[in-house]
Amino acid sequence: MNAVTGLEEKLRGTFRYLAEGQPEGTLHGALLTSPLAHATIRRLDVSAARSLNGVHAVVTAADVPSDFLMGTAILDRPPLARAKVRFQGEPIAAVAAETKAIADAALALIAFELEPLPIVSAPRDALDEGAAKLHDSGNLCSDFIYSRGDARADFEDCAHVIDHTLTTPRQVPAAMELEGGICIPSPTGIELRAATHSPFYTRSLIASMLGLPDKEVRVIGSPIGGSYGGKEEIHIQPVLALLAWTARRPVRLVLERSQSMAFATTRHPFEIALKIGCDRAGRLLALTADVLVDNGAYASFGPEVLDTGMECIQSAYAFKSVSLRGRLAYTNNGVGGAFRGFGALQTLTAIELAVDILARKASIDPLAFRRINLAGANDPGPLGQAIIPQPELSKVADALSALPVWRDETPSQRYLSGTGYALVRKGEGFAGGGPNGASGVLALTLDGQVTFQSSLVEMGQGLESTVRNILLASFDLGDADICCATGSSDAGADSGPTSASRGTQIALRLIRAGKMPFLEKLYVGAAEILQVPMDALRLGPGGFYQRMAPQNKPDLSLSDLAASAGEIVTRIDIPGIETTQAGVKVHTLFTACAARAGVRIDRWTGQVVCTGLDLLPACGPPISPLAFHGQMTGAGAQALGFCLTEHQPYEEGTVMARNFDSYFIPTIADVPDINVHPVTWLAPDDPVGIRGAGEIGLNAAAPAIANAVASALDAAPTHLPVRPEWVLGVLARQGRTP
Amino acid sequence: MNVDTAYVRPADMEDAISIKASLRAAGMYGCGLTAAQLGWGVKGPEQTIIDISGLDFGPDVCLADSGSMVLAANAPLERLRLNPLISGQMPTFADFLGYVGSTAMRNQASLGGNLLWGAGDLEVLFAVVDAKLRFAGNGRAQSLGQITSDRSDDLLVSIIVPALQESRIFVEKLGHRQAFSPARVVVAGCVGRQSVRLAVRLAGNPVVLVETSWPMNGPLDDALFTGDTDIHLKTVAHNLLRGHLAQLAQQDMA
Repeated sequence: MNAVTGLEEKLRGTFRYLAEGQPEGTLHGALLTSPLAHATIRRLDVSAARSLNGVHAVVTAADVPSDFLMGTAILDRPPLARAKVRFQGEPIAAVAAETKAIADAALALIAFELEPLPIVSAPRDALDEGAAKLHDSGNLCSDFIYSRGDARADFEDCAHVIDHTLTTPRQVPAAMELEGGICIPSPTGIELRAATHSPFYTRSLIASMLGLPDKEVRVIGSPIGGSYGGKEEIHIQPVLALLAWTARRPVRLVLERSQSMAFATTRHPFEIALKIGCDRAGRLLALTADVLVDNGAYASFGPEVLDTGMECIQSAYAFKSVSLRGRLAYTNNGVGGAFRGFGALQTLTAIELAVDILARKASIDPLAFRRINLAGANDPGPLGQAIIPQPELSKVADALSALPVWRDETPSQRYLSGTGYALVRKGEGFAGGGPNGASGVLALTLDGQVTFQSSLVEMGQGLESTVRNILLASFDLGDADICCATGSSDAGADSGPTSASRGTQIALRLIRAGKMPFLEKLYVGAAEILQVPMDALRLGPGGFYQRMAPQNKPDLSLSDLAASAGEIVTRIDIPGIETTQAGVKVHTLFTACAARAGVRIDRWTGQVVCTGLDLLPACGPPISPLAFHGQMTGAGAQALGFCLTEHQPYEEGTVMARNFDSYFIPTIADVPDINVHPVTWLAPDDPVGIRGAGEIGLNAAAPAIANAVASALDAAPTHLPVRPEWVLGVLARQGRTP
Repeated sequence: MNVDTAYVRPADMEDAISIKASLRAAGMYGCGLTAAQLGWGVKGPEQTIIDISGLDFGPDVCLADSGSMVLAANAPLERLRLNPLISGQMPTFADFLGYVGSTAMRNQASLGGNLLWGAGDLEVLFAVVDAKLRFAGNGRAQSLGQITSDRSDDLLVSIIVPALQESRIFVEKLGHRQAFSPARVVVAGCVGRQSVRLAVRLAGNPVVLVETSWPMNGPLDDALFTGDTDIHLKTVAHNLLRGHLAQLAQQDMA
């Protein structure tokens, strides 16, 4: 068994998150958050709180450099509200005190006045001329325009045309580990222990806020107790760092679940209006899409989410012409951000529904329709960009068609059943411009272990076991000879974010690139010590063996080599696999996946139950089969939530679900058997040889479930999650209620 | 979660009653309580819990000479679900326990608590089978429907389910998901030779019980669907009752 860090503790339920195990004397951090969704801060007086005995720091926006804002494409978010609050739950001030009781008392002593502003709750209203502006730049955060060919003319040539509009839910990450951390100051810097996908990015951000050199900020961001994108965001780290730096004492700050439900970034709700058409033979001719996205109060990853969603809106199909428009609107509905699927989930679900509607209208089997329209192996990417060829697309379609037929359920007065399919693709890693390159280190450490050091993070996805398997396969060493050091800025090499399904790809490419130079250093060192030629040696479990004098133990152990030669280090840098294209952000490496879902619909209650799910990810051979399976089945469960139960409603800027008794994540009782059928074949000359498994299963599962509902009802969902009220309404209109 | 609730563990039933008498409204009986009980704040209940989970209320299930089933009030629901006597005598009850809560929660919650806390799913089923509740110090058993006054000061000891050999029972819960979900609708019916008892709970409303003749002629009694509840839930309750009753009527015809 792999010696994965914390494995036994996780199995025993005693594993501790980064925010636990604080040093003696750690202060309790707490946040004052806005009760209003949109308001001007008229007064904020923390003097009484500061003078309370036991309080060591009270910080507000006044303690943050006035030009310090957070974001990626757009910097618009202060860590503590400055002059205005823009969503309910936005932090206004924070305190660090000896105890929770003192911290709570200090929060109560903060005097503040908020003058309400008009609340912008609907993205369409947000873009009206007269809408209240969340930001000086207006409420249009970002937009996307792309066209290819003449869609209007091609619609004229279509034999069949359909329109479909889908709205998608605001899904909450709902990770077990809440946003939080511990920050420990030193005379010259800080150590920040808080979950992050990108320790180096967090380090430079915090350093710039505190005015410190990067090297004075140490960030430990892993392991993470679940993220799904929520901790790709900068969450409470700046406030935590500010408190510790101000108090000159260690501070622990962890949100409560009710705070997290308002504060955590969510999946963006999309409204996707599609029109697609095909000729008599079923060939897709034209697509128009108008997409409106509720971004919430700050840009965060919204522009990238919109770009990715728009790039994926053609799914895996070759349209002759497309005309695409997307808009991202600021509202006072929390903050949308990075979330597994990253915009593609929403648009892929919409287009896959539309494709099925069109196939039915053209009287063509949905699977056959997909095969007719599948993008060619060497076609350009969806936005005309150069991409890594995708010959695996047809293999995925073959595998989907070859699935054993599900036995139809016994006809019933009460239940309807349906089967749905999807075949999708999504870009892996970041769009052109990155960060797509990465650095890492292979080292023989002084304790005699071959160690892969990177800043990639473990968040339950199985990165560590995957890396260990790559090391074992690369170096013919024993399990005890290898080590994986991840998740901190100590790595000495920035591997970039563990995001966008890129973690495994990056680890594999780094180790692959570093293997030969690293081995050469090891062999040189061993040959020198043993006084034999390098080609007389073989590296094996435990160390080096002389080829001509085989023994059952090494002639030079790795620890002896390290003791004699010192630490042997190879730094590795790999470039990003990316292309850039004027005007639009594009991906170069795509991952394909197909899915089949079955549902049973209760005509009496309108409830939908998923009865089976097949996932066919084309990610090459799984490096860590169990982790891969876990990624896929977890994706299936999250897709169920997206389609059937999960939505965080806002009413006039007010968060309506504050806990999991009103926000419904599927439980194990809701999850059907999920069968994973990896499509392991990728082109022999594929530059990577694998694809990431993080998101693609979800992106295929959700549209398949939605299509199964459409198949059972003979009506495609217009809103997700599918509500029983809508189901009963459809059945009533069809005269199919009991 | 920081649970601040105080607990006391009485030595026996008399001790429990005595503690309750001394604490009055500041104490409450509890059995398998979990901090995640709906309706409580994040810190748990304010009252002191008098933990009766360890008291001897007799076997979880036993059969009386009359054929009635006697259920211990402090029996955990999961143990009841797995009890062979229940699966044999009243399989509908055993099956339904699979939908009351998650396994982890259900392992802890007790039958008595579910029946008396005010919004338990089992109340609907036990109303239609005319189960009787027996409290400590009071020999007379009461029907669920008769418990109109607050009995929170009294210690529920057992529940008696009458012999149901000739009855046919159905019960269904509709939540937001399959299990561990607050009920939106619970319906139940118990069809005898000449009468049928139907019960409905819509969202958080009280259980409504109606008895009428069997086979039924005419529509369902509107009284079953009263309460401040959205029209969808009323429709669902109506559909469920009509659907189950139609199936039973078809069986009779066959």
